[in-house]
Amino acid sequence: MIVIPKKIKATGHNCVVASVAMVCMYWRKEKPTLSWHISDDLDSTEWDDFSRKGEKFIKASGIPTDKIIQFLKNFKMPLKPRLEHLTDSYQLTRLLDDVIPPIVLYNQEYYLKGEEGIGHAVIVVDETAEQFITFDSSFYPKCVHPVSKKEFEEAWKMEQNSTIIISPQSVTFRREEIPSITIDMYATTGVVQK
Amino acid sequence: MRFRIEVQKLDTPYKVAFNRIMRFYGAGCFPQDTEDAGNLWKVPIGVHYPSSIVDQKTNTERIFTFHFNNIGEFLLEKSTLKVKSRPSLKDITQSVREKRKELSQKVEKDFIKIIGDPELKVKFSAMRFAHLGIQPIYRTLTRLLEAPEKYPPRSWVEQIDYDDLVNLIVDIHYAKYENGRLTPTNELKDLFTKKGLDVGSTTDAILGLVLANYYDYLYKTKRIIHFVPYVRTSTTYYAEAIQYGDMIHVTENSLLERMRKYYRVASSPSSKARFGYPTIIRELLNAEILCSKGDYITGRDEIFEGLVHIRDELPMSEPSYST
Repeated sequence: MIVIPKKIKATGHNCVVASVAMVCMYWRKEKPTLSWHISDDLDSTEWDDFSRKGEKFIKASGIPTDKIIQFLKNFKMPLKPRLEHLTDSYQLTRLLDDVIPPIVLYNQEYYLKGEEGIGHAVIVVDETAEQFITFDSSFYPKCVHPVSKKEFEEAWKMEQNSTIIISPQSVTFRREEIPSITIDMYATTGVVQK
Repeated sequence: MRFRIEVQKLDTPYKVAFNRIMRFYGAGCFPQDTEDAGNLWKVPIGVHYPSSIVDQKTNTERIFTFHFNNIGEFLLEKSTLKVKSRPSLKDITQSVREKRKELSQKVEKDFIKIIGDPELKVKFSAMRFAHLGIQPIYRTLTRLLEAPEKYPPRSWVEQIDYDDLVNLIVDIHYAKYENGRLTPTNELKDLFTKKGLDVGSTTDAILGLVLANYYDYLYKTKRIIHFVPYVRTSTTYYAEAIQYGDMIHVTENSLLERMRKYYRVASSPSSKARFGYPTIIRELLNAEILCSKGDYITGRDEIFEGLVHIRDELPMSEPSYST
């Protein structure tokens, strides 16, 4: 299991900022030799300042991921954040295998109650055959929270499998874009999808 | 280190809109159903907006999510799926605020109607600062409830430029002009009798009716703002209580903060406002619009019960992580 070194409490739109801050802290501990401009003491005021400044980017509509990128740049983090819409949960497994903790946005209200609601950000830290183990700031202080894979996948799909991947700048990704309709199908049906 | 990951190609208008929404606005927004608009795809934008209410006595926090549709739209070119136009982040934020404002105005309107009901016996005369703006109404009512020789002549009303305000009593049929004088109607006389010939409580009842019927006119047209802090403070309390579904307990300072947030007024109050605020609270308690329970402020059952039906009309749900 990926160990997130510090818990941050968050509800509402703060969940994205809290998850981003916790993943940055993870990399700070995990890769101490990178070119950091922030203390390795996660209880220091620098990290409080970091979270506080992140919260300033939160708008009534949430926090734009473009702003997260700008925010990490401002703090000269040796990390690269990206927003991806993964094809399936196997991609999460790949990231976990390489000890990269992905931040996923899934529809928690749909997962729990079957009703469409707001997207919620959690960090995926492990998996079993049946479950993903998430690190969820809204369940503070017991942040480790398992979710059933099958139901999670449905709720994650509602958010277009949105995933924020934060990794050291030295890590590069070969992105393979999978179209939603194959050329063969398009040629046969001529369907233009909405 | 190099990884291979499979990502979805953004090859449908919905996916393009979803991606841009995440990038430009945040996860609170979502694309609604795509519409065909000739050479373009139109994708309206909705938003989920979280709001937290805390009962300070029990220290219970409940999170609610408001759902608003059509706060903006993307236009995408059909041939390329490129974004032709989109609202700015500022526009989206402004639209969310407008939607919130519509809701708070609804609560405020219903709240004023309820406290204006004479049956509720709200003591408007306890709100002394508010008298500054409506003193002509107060003075006229006092004269109408005294001996007939004190009934104000029409010339007096007009001369001192009170007619706009005094005529509000005429409009609600509690006074009329007769033989060049303003006189009480039978409705006013009946009310006076019902109130045990008590000038204070009769005046309170009429002030409530004037406020219930003409708050917007007094505030927006006549620029009489003296009632505003009372209405805003108590509307904030009841709006949060309705959302919570129960009469919450809040401290005086926290109610001030909540009011500033609810009405989006300056976050750090001026020293004048800060010193005046305890008086406003005390007078709202004296007027029996709010109640006091130990160190906390709470609401009045009759007002809450009159407003709680609004809860069913609020476009909101309660996420499961609410505690």
